[in-house]
Amino acid sequence: MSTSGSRDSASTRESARETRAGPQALPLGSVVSLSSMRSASPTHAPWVAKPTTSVDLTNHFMEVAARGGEEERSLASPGEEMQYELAHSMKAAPALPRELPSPFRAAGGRGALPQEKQFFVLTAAGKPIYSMHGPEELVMGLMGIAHTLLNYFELDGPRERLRTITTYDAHGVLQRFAFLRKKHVVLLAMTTRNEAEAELQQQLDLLYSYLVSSLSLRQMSRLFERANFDLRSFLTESDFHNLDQLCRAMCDGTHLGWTLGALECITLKHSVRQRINSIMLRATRGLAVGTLLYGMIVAPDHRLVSVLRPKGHTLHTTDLQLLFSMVENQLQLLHSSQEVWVPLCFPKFNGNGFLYCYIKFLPTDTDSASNETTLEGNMHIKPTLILISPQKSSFYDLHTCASEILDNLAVAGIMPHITAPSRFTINDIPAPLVHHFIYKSKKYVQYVMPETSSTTDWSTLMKYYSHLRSNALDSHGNPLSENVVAFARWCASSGQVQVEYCDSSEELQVEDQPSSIFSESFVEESLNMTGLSWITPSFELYLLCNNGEIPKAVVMKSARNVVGWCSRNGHKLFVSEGAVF
Amino acid sequence: MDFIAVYNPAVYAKEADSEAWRQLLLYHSFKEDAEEPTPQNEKLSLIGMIQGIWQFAHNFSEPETRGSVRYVDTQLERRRVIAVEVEDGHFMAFGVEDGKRYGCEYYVRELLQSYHVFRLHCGSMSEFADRGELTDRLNEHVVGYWQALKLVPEAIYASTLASVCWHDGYKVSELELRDRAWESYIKNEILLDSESFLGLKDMCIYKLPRDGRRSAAEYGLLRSFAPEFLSLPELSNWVYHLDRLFETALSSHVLAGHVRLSIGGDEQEEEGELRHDSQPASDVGARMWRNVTMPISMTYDTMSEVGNLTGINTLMSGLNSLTSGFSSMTSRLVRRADRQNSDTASLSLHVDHGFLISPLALEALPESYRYRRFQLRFSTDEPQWYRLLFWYYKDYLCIFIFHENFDKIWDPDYLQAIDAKLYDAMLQLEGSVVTEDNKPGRFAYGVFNKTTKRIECSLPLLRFSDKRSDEKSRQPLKMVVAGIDETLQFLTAGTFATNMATSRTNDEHMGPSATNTLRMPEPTDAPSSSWTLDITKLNLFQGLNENLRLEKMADTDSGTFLDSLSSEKLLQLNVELCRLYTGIRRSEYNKAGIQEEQLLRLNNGILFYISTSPTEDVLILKNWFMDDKYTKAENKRSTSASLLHSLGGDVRRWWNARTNREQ
Repeated sequence: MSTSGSRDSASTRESARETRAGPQALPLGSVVSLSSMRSASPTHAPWVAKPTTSVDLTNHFMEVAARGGEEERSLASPGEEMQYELAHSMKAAPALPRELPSPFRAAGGRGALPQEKQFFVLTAAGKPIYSMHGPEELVMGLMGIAHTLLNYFELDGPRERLRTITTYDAHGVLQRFAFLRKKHVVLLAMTTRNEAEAELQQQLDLLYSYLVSSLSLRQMSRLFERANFDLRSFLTESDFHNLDQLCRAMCDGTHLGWTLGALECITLKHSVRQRINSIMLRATRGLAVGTLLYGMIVAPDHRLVSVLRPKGHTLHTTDLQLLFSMVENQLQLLHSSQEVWVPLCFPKFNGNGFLYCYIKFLPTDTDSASNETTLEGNMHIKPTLILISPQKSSFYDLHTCASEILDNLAVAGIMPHITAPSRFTINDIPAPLVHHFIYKSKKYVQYVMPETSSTTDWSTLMKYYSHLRSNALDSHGNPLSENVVAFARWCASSGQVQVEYCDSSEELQVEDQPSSIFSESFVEESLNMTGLSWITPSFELYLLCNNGEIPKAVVMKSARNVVGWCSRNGHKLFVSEGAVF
Repeated sequence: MDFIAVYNPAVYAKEADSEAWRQLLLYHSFKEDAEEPTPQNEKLSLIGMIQGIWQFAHNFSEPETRGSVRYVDTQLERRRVIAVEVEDGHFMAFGVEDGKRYGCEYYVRELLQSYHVFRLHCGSMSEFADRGELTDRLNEHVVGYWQALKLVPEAIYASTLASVCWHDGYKVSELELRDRAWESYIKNEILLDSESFLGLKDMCIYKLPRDGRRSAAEYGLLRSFAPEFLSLPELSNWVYHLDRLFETALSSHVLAGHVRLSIGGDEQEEEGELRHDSQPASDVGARMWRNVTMPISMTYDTMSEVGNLTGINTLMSGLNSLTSGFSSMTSRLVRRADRQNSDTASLSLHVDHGFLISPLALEALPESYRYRRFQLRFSTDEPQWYRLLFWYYKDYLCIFIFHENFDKIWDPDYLQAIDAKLYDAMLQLEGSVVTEDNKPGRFAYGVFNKTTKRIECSLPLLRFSDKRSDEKSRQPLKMVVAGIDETLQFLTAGTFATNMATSRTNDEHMGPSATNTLRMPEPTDAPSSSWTLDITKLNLFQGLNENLRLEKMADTDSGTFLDSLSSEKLLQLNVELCRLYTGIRRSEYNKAGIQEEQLLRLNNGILFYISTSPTEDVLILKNWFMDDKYTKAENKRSTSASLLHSLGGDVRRWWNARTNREQ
């Protein structure tokens, strides 16, 4: 047992939080070293905790903004370097033509703060906890204003609170801010994208859930008993790293499951999945009742292979997503011969206590494969076996159980199915002219999608999906009606219209010069994208066609074929029951 | 409604702290318990917060989008605060508690429109040198605007998507005409006439059908003549605003700005009250011009002239002599009121038309009855002041825009001549109206041209009185004519009122009665009218309102399928449409060159098409229950990728016809 040391240190995580940054926190610390000294001691901010009613926000604000602008990103966020390297390595690959023309505005990055998205976390008393990016001084000023605004409106009554701020320009929604007020912390999200309030709330809830999963509610309550407590001094570097990763993933849309509120699973023959289930069940027979709460095998990229669960119990998708993201962000450098025993709070399961997770990576043919990047921009996340127990002391029991499962899987020759799962391709389905689709089964809370073409720009694809999704949903995130079919088509306005447009108003022409140059390139690419979202009580389908003139009837026919194919192959595509004990 | 405020933070930046109050130009609280005025400090801190929100958002913007923010919507748990920058540095903010049913566009539109009304009357805020003067004017116009809306909040919500979301455009009438002879007649005979040429800047002719739901497409501006009339949207929307607020009571008092709404108490007599409940449909067309200016002005005049009020006979004789002596218009006008009851023979003789606001109004009346002074913009010139006269013919309204220094308008002969010419033109116009009903019946549409600001729309106009009719508990509204009111109260009291019924039905020559001018007809018990039937329908389907489910309807139904919806459903549908439409309008796209089409099919039968492009926004509404097999098969065969073309033959034909017309 080479990693018993790491197990011990991790298992005392709860009690030894203050000292955990020390060298004994080996498995977690190895990734953490990437992150910068984010948790440097916070400077005392004079503006906090004064719910004044008459403040000259404007002037204070301008000053901070001006000062902030001068400083060139004094605080580089840790993820950024990695992101840069990643982007760089992707660029090194031979340039491929983008198959998906994009109607969307290019991401800006000029100035001190402008970003497509921003996340703030601060304490209820207004002390900064976390910000996704931006120079610290500017961010502190902004948080101060956010805090003042929140407090001001709460003066109106106990139930009154600030929910959203939306700004509009002549073209429509420009920015949207959403606030999530919890007992001890306040979270703020800003987006310039097409995201509804419900979506932002969901993202904020994930961030909040992460804090809870790391600290547990009970501990948070205890910590915040001290007035003006500064949580930054208590969170570890890996916590900040994880928050960064979560925010980044939400910005890049790398975790589709987060927006869909569902998990992706691998396609397996029903018989294979049955054998995996029976292997898992057999291995748990020796365990005392109550030792094992939940177990699962996860293939690369967070794709579920199967679950092991007590009858009548499931874990909340958010809890699983947080667990997966923890595995992804903190344990990737772990070798497959190592194992981890880590306490984790599952906020949706029980926000007050911890569960204990046994995590072991499955052996892959070549460990070097983990350095490959996927299209989504992720590191390949290794296949994992996770067993969850409510008991702190059951490491050895679960260790034995896990070994048995892995051995039997290897003997049965199933391992390749898990470590190198294949995705079906769009060509497997009689759906002509469809480029890509996402099919979510509401019954299983799982989704599937075909192999993404190597020429597809993931973030553009995700933006299309985001629009398709929002077309069928109202501002609260509910479908517009029980059954909705929403088509969307983006095309470059015809050249003639373009000319007319420019001629008609000189002002407009001057103002829009850069973008009209841009639009000409669209005319060359002749953007003509059609997509569809189809929501019924049993499934959600989001589908994007190839670029080109495609009649609606053809799109609808393909959509029907996709739905038919998915429901026919439900056993293969989804984990229906799992191994129930 | 919570409050409305106008402020200019730039003032504050210049002044010392103690001068902070100077930035606040207007603060009006709608709270019922207004005995305790909001402390100045509280007002300022609220304004500070709103400004803080504005700046807060600003800091997250990309440099190139900074300054492009038009408005900010702040949602609290219960309230919401909306701030709009109406002029460089001048902001308007509005707080409301509305249960989040409606999109913020509803309020943004009212904010901007109240500003535009102010601007038409008083010019831009920055032109005011005196802060006190500006505050007074704002009080007069902006608060007046919002007070009326507070009394009839339904007016805010009972709007179609076209007026809510395309508030910077103006609706045009799509009245089908065989020829355009009347236009050239007006051009040659009036606009280019040697007498008018120098003074008459423009004429805007509106058609305001009184049964808006059936003929929504015909409602709006029929024609204006000046090539680049930049204030046309504001002027038009001002007219539409008065029309929606006073509906069938649109009169010279309304146009003169001498009418305000107030909640009528029980102590008042029925006279002068605008009753909205259960009016028979036969009156719908008549109500509009019933209370046109002349009778009221004459009443006033008679008062001073006759000098005593000994009895009704004196008054009547006075009125009669005035009527006959003044101009023939007035007498025609009176008979109009009784037209439904008279036979058709007299119809041809007495067609109602005449000036609503003109120097022909009597001396004793305030100036605004003789002309309205508006600041308007033509082409790229600086905005200038113009004098506006108003004229009507049936349900057409014509606005004359004169240069301010044009003295000819004081010449009665000149006005008489114009009246006669315009009357001829309107007869030509009437004659060329295509009456056959080949309107697209199976779908409703709205098109907004972003360059010309024209709105074509066949979405049924909502009349908030429709909605109010099922809320019997509401107090009836009372129209108060400022200044003239007391006189009127006196005149209409007692015997005069009791004689009313007979005067209406029997005596055509009796002359205008003062009561008639402001009073709506007595409720009739006869449920024969289609309008009354509508109410029964409404009650029948009330249970379904929540679901807004469309039904398959017989093909024989004329008008669009929406016409048969109850007001409540229609209202809900419009709220839904606005939400969908705002959903598609995003700044995320590259600003030029992208057209996005969206087609939504909901299981309640709604088929909703919307497309946005840099030049034009189009929306089409269909009931897919009504698509027959043939249409469906036809749609399947369609090979065009355009989603619009997949909506069926009727939509395609309409679209093609429209495109051809444009070219």
